[in-house]
Amino acid sequence: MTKKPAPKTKAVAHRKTSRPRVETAIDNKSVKQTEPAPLPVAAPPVTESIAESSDEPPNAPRPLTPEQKNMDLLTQIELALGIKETALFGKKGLISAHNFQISPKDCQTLLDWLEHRLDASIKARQESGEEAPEVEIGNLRTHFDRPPQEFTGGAVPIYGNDMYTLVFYPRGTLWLMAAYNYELDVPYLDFQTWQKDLLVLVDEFGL
Amino acid sequence: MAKFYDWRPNASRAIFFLGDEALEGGNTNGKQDEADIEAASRAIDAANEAGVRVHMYMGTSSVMPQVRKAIEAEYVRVADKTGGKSFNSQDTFSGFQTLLQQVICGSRPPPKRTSTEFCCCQQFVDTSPAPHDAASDGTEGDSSDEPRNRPKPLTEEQQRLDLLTQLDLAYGIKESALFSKQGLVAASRSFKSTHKDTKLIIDWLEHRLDAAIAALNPLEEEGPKVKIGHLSTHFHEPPAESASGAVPIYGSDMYTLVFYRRGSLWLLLAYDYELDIPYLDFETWQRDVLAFVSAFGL
Repeated sequence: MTKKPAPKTKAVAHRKTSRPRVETAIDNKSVKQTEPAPLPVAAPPVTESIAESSDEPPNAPRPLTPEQKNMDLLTQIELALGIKETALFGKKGLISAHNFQISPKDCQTLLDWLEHRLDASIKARQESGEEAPEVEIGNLRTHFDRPPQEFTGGAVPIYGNDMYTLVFYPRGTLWLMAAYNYELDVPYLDFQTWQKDLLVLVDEFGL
Repeated sequence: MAKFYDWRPNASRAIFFLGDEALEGGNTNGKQDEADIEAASRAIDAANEAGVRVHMYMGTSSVMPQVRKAIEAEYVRVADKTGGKSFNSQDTFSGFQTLLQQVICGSRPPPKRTSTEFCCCQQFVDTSPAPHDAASDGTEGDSSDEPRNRPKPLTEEQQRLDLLTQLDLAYGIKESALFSKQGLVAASRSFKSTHKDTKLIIDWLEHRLDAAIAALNPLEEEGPKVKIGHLSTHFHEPPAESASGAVPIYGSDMYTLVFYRRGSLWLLLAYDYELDIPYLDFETWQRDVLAFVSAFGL
């Protein structure tokens, strides 16, 4: 009989305390209106042993080899920034994606929400007490209870749990999506630095 | 081959020669020499003696444009002198199916020079004995190798995937990519391009490089070499956009990379008939693929 593998423990316990948290309570069913992950007022002190630990998120992109620099933007985002889920949406569908899937129906709902805000329909639903339809976007399930809100850097976030946020950026006729998934694959302690480095890389590709 | 092939009695004798180099041992020092011309003359004599019509097709070649013209002239001469027809990669681009129709229907014996275009002669197809009766063994039409000229239907699960992956699944397009003005934004797994070559391709697409290319020709210098996907080529000429907006880069006769401008992006699709495109002609392929892409808002 195959033994079930033990559940993963948190690799570094202090990550949770040093990681800036979303300021409101977790609610997987709604789209929060807060900044994706605000900077902490004061960064916690970092001990020497933590700084030298190979497990410690470096808060900087990994340097790419010349071979890796030949790869496309979405692959480079994964290699340099550790962002596993990325996607490019056109006005009507999912153009390109890494580790990301979405049904055509949910994709259309998402794009309607991003492009047209759906203010009136959302408001009408709220007034009638009706719940917004559930959408599955990558590994995230949510309801569009509120119109999209754009933050600094043009980010339009959709929150999952406190470790997982899908962030959308308008780029010409496209929407770039990147998953800020601190728990799994983002070597960043804070969202602002992550976003800055992500947008610098994206900008180098003329997007 | 004209002399020694085991022709059936009274068969229509025709050879369709596809090549991209001079006719005797390929290009020597990137040029055509006397031996190549003599080889062409020998082929003409042998074909005429055996009553064989020779159709010639010259694919793309990495040699200098002047050399290519000289080689192509010999291809044309062989076809003309044997009652065949000559083609080049431009003809393939507008539809390989049409080209093959001209070859097949233009092969009725006896070989003779014509002043009109070949037409598809259904009577010839209906009455000529086939070397192998494929219909009798039930393979014709039902063969999985047979190009279907339509996309494969996708499952619900497959429809959750992105456009580039769906193009592979529905149309067999293994190589596809999206270029921005400064880099390779997204690509299918089978497509690779170095950072340097990507820059060169975008420069060529966006800025045409007319002056740079024109400066090369008088000096007989080769245009900058670029490797894009599975294709190596030189940019000898500025990009030429077809009426449908396609900007092709030709590889072998079966392999063409086609770029389409989409907003600020360039969409690249490989029309690789030989390997994976279930389409017999480019125009139908292009129409269906662009409709598919358009459904994604690109």
